[in-house]
Amino acid sequence: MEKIKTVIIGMGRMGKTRYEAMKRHGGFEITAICDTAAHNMDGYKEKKYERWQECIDETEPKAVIVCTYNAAIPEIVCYALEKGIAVFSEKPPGRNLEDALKMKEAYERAEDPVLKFGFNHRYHNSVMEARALIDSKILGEVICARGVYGKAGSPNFETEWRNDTSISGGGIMLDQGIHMLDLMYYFLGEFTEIQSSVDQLVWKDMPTEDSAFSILRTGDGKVASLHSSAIQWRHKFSLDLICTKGFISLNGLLTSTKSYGEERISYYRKDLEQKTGGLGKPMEHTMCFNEDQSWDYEMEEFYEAVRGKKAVVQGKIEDAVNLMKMLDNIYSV
Amino acid sequence: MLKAYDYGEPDQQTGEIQDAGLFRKEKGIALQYVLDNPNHIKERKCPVCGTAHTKFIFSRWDIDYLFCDECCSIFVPADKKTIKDYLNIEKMRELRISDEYQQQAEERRADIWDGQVMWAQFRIYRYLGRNTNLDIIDYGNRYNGSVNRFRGSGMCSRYELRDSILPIDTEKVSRADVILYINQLQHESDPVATLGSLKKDLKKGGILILNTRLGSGFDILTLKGSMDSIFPYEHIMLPSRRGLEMILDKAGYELLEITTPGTRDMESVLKNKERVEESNFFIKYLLKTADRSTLADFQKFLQKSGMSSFAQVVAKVRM
Repeated sequence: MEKIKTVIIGMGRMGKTRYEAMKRHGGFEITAICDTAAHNMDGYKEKKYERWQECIDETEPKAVIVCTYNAAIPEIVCYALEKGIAVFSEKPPGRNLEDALKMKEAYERAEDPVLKFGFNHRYHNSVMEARALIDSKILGEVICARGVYGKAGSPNFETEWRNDTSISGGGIMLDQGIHMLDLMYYFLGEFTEIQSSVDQLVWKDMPTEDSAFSILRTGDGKVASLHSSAIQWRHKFSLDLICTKGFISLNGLLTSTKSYGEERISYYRKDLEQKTGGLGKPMEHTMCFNEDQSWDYEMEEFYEAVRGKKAVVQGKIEDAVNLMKMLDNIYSV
Repeated sequence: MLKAYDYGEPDQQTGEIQDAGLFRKEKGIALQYVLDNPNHIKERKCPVCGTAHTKFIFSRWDIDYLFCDECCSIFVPADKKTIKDYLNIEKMRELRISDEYQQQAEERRADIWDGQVMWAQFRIYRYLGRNTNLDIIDYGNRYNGSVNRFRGSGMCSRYELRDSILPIDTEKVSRADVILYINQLQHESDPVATLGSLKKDLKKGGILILNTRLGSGFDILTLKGSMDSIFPYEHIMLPSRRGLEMILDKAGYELLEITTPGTRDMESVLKNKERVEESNFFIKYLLKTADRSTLADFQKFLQKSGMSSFAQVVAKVRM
């Protein structure tokens, strides 16, 4: 197996998660890790750096994994791309549209660039099954969606870095709601008309929102509603996809904490003739999953892209820019 | 491996899937054959896992069914010729291809077949990335309605019906994208060898879709020999879920998914509650006291936990 010389910039929770996924994959040779907080690198044998530029310059990797605060992402991504290094970056793609566009320009200037953003939800089993259901045309075309992605909040929620606008760029919508927005974009397409209400409903002194409601419409008339919330007071993931010939519902999400509940997809066909059940009770099929391989699938796709075997399919820079454009609209309405 | 479970609402089940009169005739023919061809095989080794640790679980028409202590499969240690001859009984074939039989099946199983085709379209797309222009081999399908639905589903480029009693001309498929092996395992005395032999008919990356009754299902383990729908030599191999995984592994397949979406265990036990053994206090109590909603939840639990009596499998050849 070809080993790809790789460094990880940012060894917080996501850096560690990516580290483990790369180790499981076996195709990455992690030559160095980097974090401004040295304690985040305790216990790792790899060469350690506290300055990302020094890490990249000295180790000359073939690939870099960027797991830093949102504010640092664009500079590192652009620098690596300019040096011809393949980049995998955590979401969100910067703090705002401007950051995303900066990375797009660097991408377009680079020769044979590889750039992938981590939208791991697309690799969750329930999402992959939904994609297969939709693409197989069994339930017709998706015409609208309803999504809720909610967090329980936390005792020090107001002071978390995620709610420091200068570092993060936004609140719960940018941090977590972006995954739901990405899934809706994945299933329905780009939203061109957006109405939203972005609020501090509980943490009123926080600079970022704790709740964001959005009604979104694509150019061809598909509609979605999204609620991204830090005031759900428990973890919740729910996405309904209404199709012309049936219905798909994703509920729960398998994560390391198991706090979003059992991950499952239910679907049924439109059955107005009541062949499969009484009116209002069509035969429903449910699949549940007890393994989350999303990190592994994502790394495998990046690995193949770096080797030049396959193009990046999920988390492309075009998707990143489109998402940030939609988020920009959500925040500005 | 992707682990998934699939269930529907049990209270949406409709009536019997077999016409009582025709089913009696089928069983009558099978019984006569069994009386004429008693089982002389003394071998008690499990054809799934190979262990000799097996024991008697029940008998039907004086044919012993054995339970494997290791893999929990249920089987009749019958010889291949007896089974082959059973499957070729002319009287049975005539009955099963008759217009009346096929018409009754159409009336009672249409929704099941529709669901089966939809499920196949979904799962084939999931693993092959397409569900059209496929070369499909369908083994042993004995229902015109089912054959017609698969052929008319828009999935097939070429469709070949093999080892079937139906007098239907189909195209030849040398290597298939998909092999359908539906309700065939139940009369296999050597399932590992049979499934192993199918591999040569699959294209590289092709998939095997297999449905079968399970011996680890709630209904059969509760009712045992009192289950009317299980009889020799129609059913001589009822693997457990674990046994089915072993069969596929030994036959050289990589299991992509196994689900147990059977919806009729509780219904079957409920209909035959007087036949549940007196010593089975919990089940007796459950049947006596539980309301319909509780029983439906129990069936869901069976499905989700891999303990219903019907399994759906997707597998590919192990590289």
